[in-house]
Amino acid sequence: MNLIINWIKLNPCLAIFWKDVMYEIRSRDTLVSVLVFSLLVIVVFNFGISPNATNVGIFAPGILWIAFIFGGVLGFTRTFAIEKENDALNGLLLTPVSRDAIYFGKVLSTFTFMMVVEIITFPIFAAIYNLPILSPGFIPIALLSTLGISSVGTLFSAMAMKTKAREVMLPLLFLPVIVPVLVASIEASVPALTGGSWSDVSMWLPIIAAFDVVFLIVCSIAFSYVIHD
Amino acid sequence: MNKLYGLLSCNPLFIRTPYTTVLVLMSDKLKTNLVQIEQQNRTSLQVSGLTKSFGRTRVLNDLDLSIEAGEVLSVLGSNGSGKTTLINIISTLAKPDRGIVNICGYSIEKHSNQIRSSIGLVGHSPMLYSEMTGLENLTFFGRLFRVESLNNRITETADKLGISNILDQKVGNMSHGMQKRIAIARSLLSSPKLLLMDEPESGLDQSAVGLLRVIINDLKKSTCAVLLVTHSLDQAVNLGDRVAILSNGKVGYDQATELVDIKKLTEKYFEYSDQFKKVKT
Repeated sequence: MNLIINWIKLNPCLAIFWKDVMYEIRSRDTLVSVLVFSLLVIVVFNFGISPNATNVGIFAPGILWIAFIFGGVLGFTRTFAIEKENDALNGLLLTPVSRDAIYFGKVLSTFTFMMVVEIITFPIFAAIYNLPILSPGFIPIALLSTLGISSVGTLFSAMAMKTKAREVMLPLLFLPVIVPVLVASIEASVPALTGGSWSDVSMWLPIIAAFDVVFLIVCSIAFSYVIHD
Repeated sequence: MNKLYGLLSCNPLFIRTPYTTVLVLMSDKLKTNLVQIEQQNRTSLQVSGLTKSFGRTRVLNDLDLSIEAGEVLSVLGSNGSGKTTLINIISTLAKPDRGIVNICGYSIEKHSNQIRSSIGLVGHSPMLYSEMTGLENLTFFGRLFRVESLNNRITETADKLGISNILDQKVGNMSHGMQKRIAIARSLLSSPKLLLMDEPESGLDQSAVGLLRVIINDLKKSTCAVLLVTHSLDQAVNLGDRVAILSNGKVGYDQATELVDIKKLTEKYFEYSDQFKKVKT
């Protein structure tokens, strides 16, 4: 047990993740703003579209994923903003830790924050749009899609950090790349949320998983170039 | 190897035949290599032909520099002369356009992780997380540096820097001077072989500057080399073993401090600064 605890403490990836979690618990900058924004999107769409029993299954998954992704964009701007304060990123880059470990640590923390937002948002969304709160088919979609979104978002967050107008640059860079995973997530969420068959859900999962694998590899390689100089 | 060389070169039996002459010649080459290796081990930092440009501005131009273990090199230079760029390249934060940088025998191109393990950097900004306490910052960075007996090392370093009583405070609530002390503690945690200090005295009170002097003297004893970038000529002479002035992207002046007269150094400093300004304009 001690060996595992020591490994967790010494693993640079987990050390960076733990630092981000601790930082977020103290500042509550990212979680609160992302959560409020996601809830606002869900409520505003509800008023704008006024979904009924016949069309809720078509609109609701799209609204849910738009809320998560736009909320995510808000969170990604903060991912590296905390590293910019006091030039802490340089302190991190001066440690003998590979750039991959920094990237995966950041992906892990972003993924966790997004999952927390999704866990809180989903029951409220289900209640507002009169959808079942318990949708087990939605869990693998949420996990895989959030991983893909986090992997791309972390890279573009690092990229946008180096630009002057990072709040503008991040959505411009991030949203076009995330389209495949957004489409697959929405398509898979329709049967998952409206009581469709598991085969309708599972046919989209390999696409999202493939996106995750490809972008985790590509983004981890690209990250070391983005973060340097 | 030295014994082998001694045997080959001193024994007359070996020198008499042509075959042993070859052996002696070989041993001479061996000795040269040994001397080179020994020199490398003594040299903590070796910079040669370092060039870096930002756009059309060439900040470092074929710069050569070396620091031996346990030596403190004070680097002076006017604003924009490339002091911080030099530190950023040595610390692997920036990439050079051209040139070789070796730290304790490791090249920055091939062994950047080993180099990061061997260096400590005290920069302009503290490079700390403001929402975390001093202790949390030191623990976090210590873990990334894989410092053994981390808690003891933190206590020891904090005592040395007089920050033990403020370690539980958030870095964001500390004064600039205290943040700087924590930053110095962070750079010393991993017992670096080369310490890079970019204007470390800025923001520090007189007692902290005195403390800095004690720390640098301790580092000299532990064979840690120090590259100290400063604007204070007094500090450069008092703390350094050698003083160098950067001008036009090169080391324009390099002298042992025992041979330096502060008045002459001031004249030299302004002379090189004027040269630098003329080239710039």
